Amino acid sequence: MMQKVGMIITVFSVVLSVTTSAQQISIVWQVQDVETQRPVPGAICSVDSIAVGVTDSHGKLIVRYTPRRPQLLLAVRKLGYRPWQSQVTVTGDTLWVSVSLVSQPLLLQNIVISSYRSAREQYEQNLLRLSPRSIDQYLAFLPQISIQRRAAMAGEPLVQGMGMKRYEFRIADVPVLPACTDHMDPANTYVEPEALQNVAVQFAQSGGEFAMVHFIPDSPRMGPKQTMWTGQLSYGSVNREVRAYVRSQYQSPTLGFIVDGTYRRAANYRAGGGELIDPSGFRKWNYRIHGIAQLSPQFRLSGVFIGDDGYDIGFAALPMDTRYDRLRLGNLALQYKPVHQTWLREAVFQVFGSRVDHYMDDWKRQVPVHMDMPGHTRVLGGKLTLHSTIAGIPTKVATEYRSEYVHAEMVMYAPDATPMWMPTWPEMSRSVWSVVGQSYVPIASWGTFIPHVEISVAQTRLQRADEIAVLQGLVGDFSPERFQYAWSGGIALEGKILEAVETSLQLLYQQRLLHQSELYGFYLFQSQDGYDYLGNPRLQPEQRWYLNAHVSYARKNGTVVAMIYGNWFMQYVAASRIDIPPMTIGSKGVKQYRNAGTAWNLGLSLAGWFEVLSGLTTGCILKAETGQRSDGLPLPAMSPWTLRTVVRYQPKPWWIEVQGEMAVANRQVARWAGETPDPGYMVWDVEAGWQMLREMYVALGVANVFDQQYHRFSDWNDLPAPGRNVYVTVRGRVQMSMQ
Amino acid sequence: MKYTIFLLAIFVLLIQSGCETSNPTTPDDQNDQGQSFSLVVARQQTAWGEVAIYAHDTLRAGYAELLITVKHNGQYVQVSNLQFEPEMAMQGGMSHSTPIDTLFWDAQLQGYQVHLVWVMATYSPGGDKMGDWTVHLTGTIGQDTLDLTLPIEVYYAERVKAFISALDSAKIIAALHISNPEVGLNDFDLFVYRKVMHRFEPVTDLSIEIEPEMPSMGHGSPNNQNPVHIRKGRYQGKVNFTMTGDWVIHTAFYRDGVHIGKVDFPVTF
Ligand SMILES: [Cu+2]
Repeated sequence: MMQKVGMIITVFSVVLSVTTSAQQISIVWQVQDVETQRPVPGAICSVDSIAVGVTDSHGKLIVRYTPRRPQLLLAVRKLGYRPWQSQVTVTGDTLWVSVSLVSQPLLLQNIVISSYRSAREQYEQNLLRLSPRSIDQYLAFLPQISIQRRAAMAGEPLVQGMGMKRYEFRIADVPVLPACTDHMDPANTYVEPEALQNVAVQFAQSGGEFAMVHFIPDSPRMGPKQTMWTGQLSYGSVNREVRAYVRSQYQSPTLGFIVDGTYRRAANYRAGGGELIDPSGFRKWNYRIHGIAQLSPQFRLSGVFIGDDGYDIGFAALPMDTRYDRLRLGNLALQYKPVHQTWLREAVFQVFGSRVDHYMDDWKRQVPVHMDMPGHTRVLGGKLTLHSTIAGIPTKVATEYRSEYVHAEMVMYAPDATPMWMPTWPEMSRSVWSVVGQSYVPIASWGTFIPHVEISVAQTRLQRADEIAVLQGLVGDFSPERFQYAWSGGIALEGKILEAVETSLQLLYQQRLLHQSELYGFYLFQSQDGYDYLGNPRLQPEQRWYLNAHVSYARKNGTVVAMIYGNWFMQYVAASRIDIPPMTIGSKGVKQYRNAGTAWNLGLSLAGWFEVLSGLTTGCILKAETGQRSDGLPLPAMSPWTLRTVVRYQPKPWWIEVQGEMAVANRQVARWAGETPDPGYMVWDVEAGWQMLREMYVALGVANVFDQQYHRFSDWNDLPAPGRNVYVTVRGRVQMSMQ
Repeated sequence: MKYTIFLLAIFVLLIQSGCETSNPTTPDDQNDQGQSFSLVVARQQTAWGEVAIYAHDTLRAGYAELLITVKHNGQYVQVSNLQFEPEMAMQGGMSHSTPIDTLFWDAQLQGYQVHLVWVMATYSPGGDKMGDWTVHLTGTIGQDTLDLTLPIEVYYAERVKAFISALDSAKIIAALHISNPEVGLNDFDLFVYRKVMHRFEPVTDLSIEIEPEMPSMGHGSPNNQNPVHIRKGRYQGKVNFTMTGDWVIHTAFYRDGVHIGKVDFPVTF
């Protein structure tokens, strides 16, 4: 790591004209990351200890200011970076402030509400920059995330032990509703690391859910005319995966485009020790068109379209596979920024839509009764976001309306019998309207107080009389229309308590909109505990209190971050056994979602980053979670002590890196949810590479060097992880400047 | 601007594809009341007019609803002392009638509705002729006499089952009627009669237990309601079908707590 801890890089002011005292001046801030040169959004800029605004998504902020003296104290703060400040002399009517922030590699994601600097970004810089192998690998490095693997592709992120019923997925600000009743299609399926800028995990402003996992694709840029072509090819031995990525990027002063695509194809993988995991192969395409245009000095238009088509995706840990899974997603945003600073700093209007079509079947399996299970979701909506500065306090207000549609069904084919049909998610439409408000209130020069409030109202309606009837036949009469509301509010406090010590505290109360499986799921077989799951239309909304605190200590050659989070759930939704006959062949019985009193969980993480010698850096993260229901049963998906570590030696242009992952045996086992004890493990990866230019390199690595047979505590039905994988990646770029 | 149009076009395309939701096809949810007597199953001219028998659908063994119209000098009329006597003349020379649940004048339809249970079909499942069904109608209309015998064809259906009572060796006939089976809770009627000579008498004192099963999957369903006696051998209950396909309703009959027999009714939809 060539990180220069504790360094403040640049500031320069440019004289444009002669000063007239006590006159309003413009201060133009441009904040970027010193290492990636990417703009840093959400940085709080202050003048003489008064916050004047927050940088936009392009790292820019323009304010009008009336200086009372020629000397100004300028400061920029952003969690995850060293605070910057500087004394400058006003010499013109425009002050240009260009700040390059130095990252403080907290292994910490989104302590700050809506802070878009995620741990993944830091890892990309610190750990994985040169050889991104999968999204899941990044996600597994985050302190509050574990990955639940069901196959080779797309594990379900468990956020603080919460599965995806409890949080929302977004890609490029567009809600994506998974369409598989068996969680085969978490939205990380649809994102390839090459096209990703970062993953933001938010615990507030999360669309009526407890959290939001937001995949943000990298954005095209405008600048001197230039066309760039990038290509990347990788091969991995463990499943003979071929991965090809092509990207074309164009920029001009008023226009920017990215068109890119990934093709991946893999056979069944071999687990450590040699077992062939059948089926686990897949084929998939991912493609994107992303454009940005400056229409006028005030207006900017951007649009993104993402498509993803997966075929024949084997899910060895489940009784069925995916025949196809398709995503189509689009977002069109019009951004308005007044040339002269008013109370309104920025307004963004977006229209967006997404659809997922999922088709799972079991025709590769030896079963007496074959099944097809298609599922579909749609989202269409719009959003208006206003960034303003009112009475010197930066405030964000946003309102969003979205219309959602969900339907999944099942057809079974027994030999010599009439095909059998039933709904699994009855056709449901839901309209959700939400309003969010958030302010950044500076507390002297010490820190920032960030209150926020969010209200979501949702009208849910089941559409089909026959599906309502079949559900009513099981759970009794209920109204096919349901009005839900969820509000959440909270405060965050972040600041510096000592020279090298930064801290933050976040307290939240949240309600969440219930998931269609919880309300209306119809005999959803869960292969981990072997029960058919039934929804409960009379379920009360789940609520929680959430507390998160962190302390970081940064010295010249290293950083240590300690973090703790806690949840207190009320009306905790869990499934419990009911006495009706099961439907799925081999099912042990039926469980129905109930409000099961209260529950709590607690997570700890300790992360560090040290530059041992010049060019030799090491990082690690240690984490553990625990939790319990009020009736004494353990909460599922709680991580045992897990350590991830990386050592990287980089005498440029070469690098060599060793990564390790180890966990103690998992004994906090929620047997009621089908969990079983898991042995501890230790896995090592090595990688070496040669980097010619920033985006041209060759990397050769071996993952799971000792071919360990292992699984993580969270892996579905203890699915063994891939064994030794020898991989190679070649990346190259062609650049043409046209001028 | 070209690129603006381009972006808009992409978006419009996306939205359009997003809007293309499939039109759900709901199963036919007509019930008996909604059905019309659209099929003529028998018709005969007389000196004074015409007699016709209508049904909702092709007649099959089991419960059926008929409409009998009598046209007298161009007018639909009622008949004094109307007798309706179905009879099956079997191949072997024996004959028997079939149980009638109810017969009433329907002023709206200007005819008589007869609800009855065909205890057997004209043809076996293999297509062999079992006998001939006829309906004998008698009565008077003013000065005129009604005395007609109309042939009727009844096709095979597994909706009528018979067993010998373990208590008294009587032959018991049970007929299941679900007007339009669909997923969810379905009302059903179970008609139970005892054969006495060539007639059928209602059996009114049974307790009946049902258990639906999907044999290909090996599962049943919850929340079924055992049928209870309503009138004249007609029992009503509810059966819960959790999916479409081939179901079997296992039906057990008890009198005074003694198991007297059981039958299985297949239901496919
Ligand atoms: Cu699926």
